[in-house]
Amino acid sequence: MTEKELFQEIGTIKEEYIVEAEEYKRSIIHSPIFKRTIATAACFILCVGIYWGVHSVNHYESEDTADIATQSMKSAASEEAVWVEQENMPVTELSKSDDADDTDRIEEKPTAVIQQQTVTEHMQEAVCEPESSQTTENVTISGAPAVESDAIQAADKAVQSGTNNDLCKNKSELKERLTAYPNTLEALRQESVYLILYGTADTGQEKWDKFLQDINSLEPSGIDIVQFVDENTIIITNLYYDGQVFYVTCDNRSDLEADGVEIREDSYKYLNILETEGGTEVFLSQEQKLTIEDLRSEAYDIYTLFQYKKER
Amino acid sequence: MDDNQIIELYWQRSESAITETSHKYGKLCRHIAMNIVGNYSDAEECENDTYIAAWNAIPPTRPNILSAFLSRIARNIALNRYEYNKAQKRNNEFDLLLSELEECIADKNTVEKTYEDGVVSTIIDEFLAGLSKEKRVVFVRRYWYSDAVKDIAKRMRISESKVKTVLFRTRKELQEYLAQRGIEVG
Repeated sequence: MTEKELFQEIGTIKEEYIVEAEEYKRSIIHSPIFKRTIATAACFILCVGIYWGVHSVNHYESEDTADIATQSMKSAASEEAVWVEQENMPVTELSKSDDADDTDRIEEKPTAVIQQQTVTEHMQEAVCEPESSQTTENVTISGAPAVESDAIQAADKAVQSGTNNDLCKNKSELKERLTAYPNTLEALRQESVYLILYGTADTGQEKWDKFLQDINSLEPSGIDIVQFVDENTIIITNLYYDGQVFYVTCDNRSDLEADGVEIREDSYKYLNILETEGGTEVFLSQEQKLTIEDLRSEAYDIYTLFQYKKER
Repeated sequence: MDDNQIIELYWQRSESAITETSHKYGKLCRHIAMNIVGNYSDAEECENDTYIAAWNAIPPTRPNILSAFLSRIARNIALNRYEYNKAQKRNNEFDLLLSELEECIADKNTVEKTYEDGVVSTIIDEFLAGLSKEKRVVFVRRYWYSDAVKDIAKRMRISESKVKTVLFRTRKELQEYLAQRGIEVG
């Protein structure tokens, strides 16, 4: 049978499959991008809600202090007004006043000063308390950033130590590196990549094994994977693990209509390796411990990396 | 207009049957033909030939699903046109599609031809029934409708690399399926 005959035979399949393919349009709510957008929005709303809740509790506790400060300021202002009035009285009136009055008037000045100082202290307390509540809020929120900065520091350390030159979170550098790879098999075999030729591992198996070791130890690591799917199709994928999640970037060079490297913003929690009759299937997912049936179904957000048999 | 009403117009030998068919399914037939022949003028001719073929076939035929019936005619006419033009013009995308199907054929050098007409299509139907819906749609869009990978990715809202991977695996599975059922090549 020739390929043309096979094409003609495919033309005689059941009408229901023809109609199914014509009418099938994947709903936007099932698209990974839509799901991730909703998840991101939900996380953002949750964070805002927690922040607002904590802020409200602390604001309620500091209300009493603020009231004291306000009252003190008012009383200080009224005292100052009295003192100013007395100072501005005509001299004749002043001279007519009793010594006791003068003494009293003089004594009032320090009282007003003391009161102002008191007000200042109260104000400082009022200022300090919000600061302390902010400190509380910072501690609450900083849990996640602290973890993230640790992971980034670990990644930076690894880059500086030069242990793995595939670690690259900088998107423009990554894009440059992926597009710089050659297109021929002989040249790719000389590169530091994991090469899969028509479903069979060709070169770089030790790199893949090292990458798996690293992620099992929760160490940041990365690898470039090149698949020869057919004579005209090469897929170059960078897979990077930052100690917590996996990031995937894919080069669409083989598609003549494509715009080049497809930078994915997506991240996945788990790397799945399933042994099947046909070989080993490797894919990324958000859920743990998925089976072959889960892989074949549409219920899970899955990114298929590749399928391979070990090197001949 | 409803499909049954359009079919009724054919049975009544009313010329408005062609007009209504063109309004409803002209774009589909052109799309299928365009994917195979690769140029607009040939695709238009294939579309017109499809209407003539449908006019000649109905009656006595009363198709169950008019869209599938017309699509199948358009596909066969376009394939014949592709053969006719092959010496002068090439459609790179369609040639690529045919080269992909070569992988499904186990061995081209076997001497004896052992498959019978209709058996292979039944086997392919069984094979497609065992696939998940998404894989089946990707396969049919590629090898029945001859859609480009990019168009399939857009329609399915998945990445092009996923489409290529699905097609690669499905071709492998089809190859094994055909080989297990003794499909030999002459």
